[in-house]
Amino acid sequence: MSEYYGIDVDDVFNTMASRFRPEGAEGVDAVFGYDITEKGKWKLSVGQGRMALDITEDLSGCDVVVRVDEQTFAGIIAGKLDAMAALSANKMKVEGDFNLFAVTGKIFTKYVPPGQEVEPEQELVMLKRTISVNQRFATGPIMGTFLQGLKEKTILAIKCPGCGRLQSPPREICAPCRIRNDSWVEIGPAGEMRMLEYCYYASPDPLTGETRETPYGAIGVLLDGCKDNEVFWHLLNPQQLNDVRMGMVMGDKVVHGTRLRPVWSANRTGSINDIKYFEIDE
Amino acid sequence: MGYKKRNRHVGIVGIGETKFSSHREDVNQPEMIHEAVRGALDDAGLTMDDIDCVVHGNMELFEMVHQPDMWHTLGTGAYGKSAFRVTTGGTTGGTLVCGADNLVASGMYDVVLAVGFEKLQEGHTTGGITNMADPLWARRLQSGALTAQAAVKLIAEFGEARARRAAMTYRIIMDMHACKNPNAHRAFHLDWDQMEDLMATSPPLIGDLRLIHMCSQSDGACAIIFASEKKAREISGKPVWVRDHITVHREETLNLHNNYYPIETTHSFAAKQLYGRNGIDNPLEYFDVFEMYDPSAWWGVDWLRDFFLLEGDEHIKMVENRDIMIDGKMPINPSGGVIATNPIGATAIIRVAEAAKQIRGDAGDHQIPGNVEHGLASSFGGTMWTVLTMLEKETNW
Amino acid sequence: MKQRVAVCAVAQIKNEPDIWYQRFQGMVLECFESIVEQTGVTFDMEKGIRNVVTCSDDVFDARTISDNAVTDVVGAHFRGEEKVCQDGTNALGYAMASILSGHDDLVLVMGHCKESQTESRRMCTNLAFDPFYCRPLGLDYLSAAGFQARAYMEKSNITDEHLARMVRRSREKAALNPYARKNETVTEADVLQSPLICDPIRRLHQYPVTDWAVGMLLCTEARAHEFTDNPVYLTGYGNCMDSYFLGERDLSTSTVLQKAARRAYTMAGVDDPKRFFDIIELNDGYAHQLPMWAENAGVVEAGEAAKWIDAGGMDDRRVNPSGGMLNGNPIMLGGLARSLEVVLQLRGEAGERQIEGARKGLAHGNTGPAGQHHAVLVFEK
Repeated sequence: MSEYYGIDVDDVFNTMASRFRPEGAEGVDAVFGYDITEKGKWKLSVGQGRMALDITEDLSGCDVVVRVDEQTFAGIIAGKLDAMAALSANKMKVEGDFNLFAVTGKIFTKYVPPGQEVEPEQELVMLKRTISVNQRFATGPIMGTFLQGLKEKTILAIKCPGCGRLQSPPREICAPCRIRNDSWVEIGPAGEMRMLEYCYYASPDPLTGETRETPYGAIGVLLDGCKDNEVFWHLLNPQQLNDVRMGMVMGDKVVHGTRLRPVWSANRTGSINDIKYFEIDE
Repeated sequence: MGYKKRNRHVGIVGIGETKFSSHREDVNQPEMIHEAVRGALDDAGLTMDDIDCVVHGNMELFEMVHQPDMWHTLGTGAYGKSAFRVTTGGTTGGTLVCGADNLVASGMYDVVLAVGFEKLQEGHTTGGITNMADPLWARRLQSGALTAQAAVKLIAEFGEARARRAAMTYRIIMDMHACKNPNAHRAFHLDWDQMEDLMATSPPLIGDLRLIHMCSQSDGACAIIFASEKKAREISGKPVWVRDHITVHREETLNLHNNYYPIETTHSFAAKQLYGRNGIDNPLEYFDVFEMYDPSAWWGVDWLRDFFLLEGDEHIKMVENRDIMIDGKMPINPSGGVIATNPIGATAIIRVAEAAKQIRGDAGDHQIPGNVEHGLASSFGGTMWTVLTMLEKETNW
Repeated sequence: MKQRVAVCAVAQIKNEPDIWYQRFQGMVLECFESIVEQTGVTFDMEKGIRNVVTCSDDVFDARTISDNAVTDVVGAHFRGEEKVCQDGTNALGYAMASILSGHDDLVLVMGHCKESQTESRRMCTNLAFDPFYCRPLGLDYLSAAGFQARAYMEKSNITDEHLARMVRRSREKAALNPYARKNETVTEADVLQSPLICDPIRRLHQYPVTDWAVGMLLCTEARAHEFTDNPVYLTGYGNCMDSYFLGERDLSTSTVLQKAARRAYTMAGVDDPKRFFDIIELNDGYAHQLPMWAENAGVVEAGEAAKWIDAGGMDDRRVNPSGGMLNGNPIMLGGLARSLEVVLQLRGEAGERQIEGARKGLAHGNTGPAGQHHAVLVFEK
């Protein structure tokens, strides 16, 4: 029976039933797998305010599996090691839905090794509040013209009377020239892909609180009619993430990216969502 | 008429930092700020009576407190004092230093306390950053400060294997530095033999940008006290002089998705302007330490070229040869940098504080060996903005 | 101080209740173009503008790094830009310091705010209070002003009738100001019947929701002639911060405005603020604040404001010919509106509002609940 940080890992699992908090498990319906290296595997099923724990070799069918060595696991249980830090340092690996794994923190009361005095911990009272103040964002005539164009399945760029630079979405001024942009050019709608950001992690939309499904691809597309740095930022069809090639200009070296075309939404309202995403056009 | 001689010199006479962590539930915002302010006052041997003006900064939408300098008066000690609040996103800390420097140099104030802070755990960091994007467009596309752009660029130029190794080498070095800094938020005790494993298994965030490469989300505060030359010499036995600073912003559109090179970055523009007007031809030779605002290991490697005006793969070699280590030829981030610690509103002022500590010779375990005279500190934020500050041991320019 | 700081040009759009047809960028660009046109200033790294000081607010803009959105329209692409996140008088003060420090010869100051964008100013300002105690009590800048109004009015004998008079006057003055928010003229009876929104504050006592943008070009004295033949000098600046808990402040007075004013007056060499100024612009977001700020800035004897108003003192002393904040300027920009009026007056460009021979002006701004922070500027021809 080994111990790290004064914690016997077997005991942590053996006491799960007695430390279970039905109120923390409310709404949780999942199977968690624990793979403690060279120690053992446990499968924890939680549902309907109840739990079941099995010692098993087979962690298939788990919604999330955490693989960690005994020492790191004990350290996290003891509160001496930070779970996120362990994850970042690759001392712990999580397969499956990471956010689900975080739920386990609420399901059990804190493990206290036998014989240790239960220190009355000061309860950390947490008040979660989503602060929401509705806004009415104006487009102004420039962005407005552009969004109106999207409604009509047209992608417009504004042009600088000085340097001829195209900007899409458009801006009122050409920043380097410091003069007002004054004419419009239709670009695309198709073009070649430049950058692809293959996103495994999505941030919640600060306005709606929704998180995008991952993986998704944010892309830069050089639409037909544009040159150099005049790249359009949007999204790629998530089904095609692995089928596209990035384009790049690096001095003299030019690599052409996959040709793409926009997929228009049926219901267009004059917003970025009027283009659902770009898809391969080859 | 180019850059003019300043009205009077300004010296850093006091530095205070909180321990940086993701668990400062034991203090509220003003209390946390107070720790740093108290630290700076004690370091300088001053009391609030000696302070003329307080400059405050953070990114308020992270904690969702409107005009937080009002509430934070409880911790900054600004009551009855002159007070400013300047904010510029990630570069806020750098702007605080520029601001304090301008205020003291102007003659309008003799002793100015600048304090930057952030309590990221009280909000949602990536959501807060995404909130900087245009609500009509980029907000649907941006994922906080995460991008694989630098990785794509370095890999295209130097090949997958070399680029990935360089980024990981940089990361491990930053962690080694952080392990010597008791205030750093994250110090993992990474080892060289973990390199392959980390490169293969650290969870990817975007493309080749992996969790291990990316900066922290920290809570913390940092305060610096600036004084006019006359007062600085009275207050401190080793004032650190602010020689010059430059701020370079650019338009709102990010050009992270363009894969079009070369482009002028605000980093290289700032560097060229700052060194040019100070007569510095060879920054790599001139500076003894550089605290760079490096939000990711990929950017850290990439920006060495911009900041030192290098060519080809000189910057990659700096990393491969480990010149950037504390005992190396050009120490970068002896504090562990931003990857180890990132309380955003404070991060950029911490760069200046850490560079100043190096010049004073009291950085403790993460002190660079030898005489440190010329320090450089950078800030990053917004849509690829830069603030660059030069610090000196002597007023010999 | 050897060199003074000159204001070379000012520009603004019209204050309006709802600029639904422009976003910030468009609003600011108009001001930017006007400044460039008036002065011919460039952004050359040697001879032109290298630094811009902006003024805006993240919460009201609902954007993290609110200055992000306007970097290009203020000309700050590959130039410096620093945002002062307080009333715009402090952006001017900071710009002044940048110039006096020698770091810059020229600083462009640009501000924007769209109060109409948010569903509620009160929900925004409620967020300025600590989340544990004051915020859940529902405090916001209006209720803070309400406490202050009650305390001040009891002490000063300023009455509901006085307030009505000030509102009526503010609108009369503003009617002469082509850039002022267009409001209905009101009679004093109208004001007295205006519903109470936070006793003793009536709806007409509060500055109305306003959108605006403004710009000013500041320059070191030696070079002002390159940009204008009618410079106005910023000779004094002072600011001061009060404590946070309303209960800890004596809301019937403002010691920090007194301090801020004294700092500005000392810098500018003003001995007697009651006699020095030809024009005075005080940032009265609420009607009771006009006499309150007047007393605390030292332009009226403490305790005499009621008598002063009765005796027509506001006109004698040329107070708020612009209409003041009371007529409508957005939060954050009130002080810039006050400063802009002073500059126009000193340049002789105030049209129908012109005060003959105005050569010395006072401008004031405030930030935070019930004026927790004040700033005072002295301008001279």
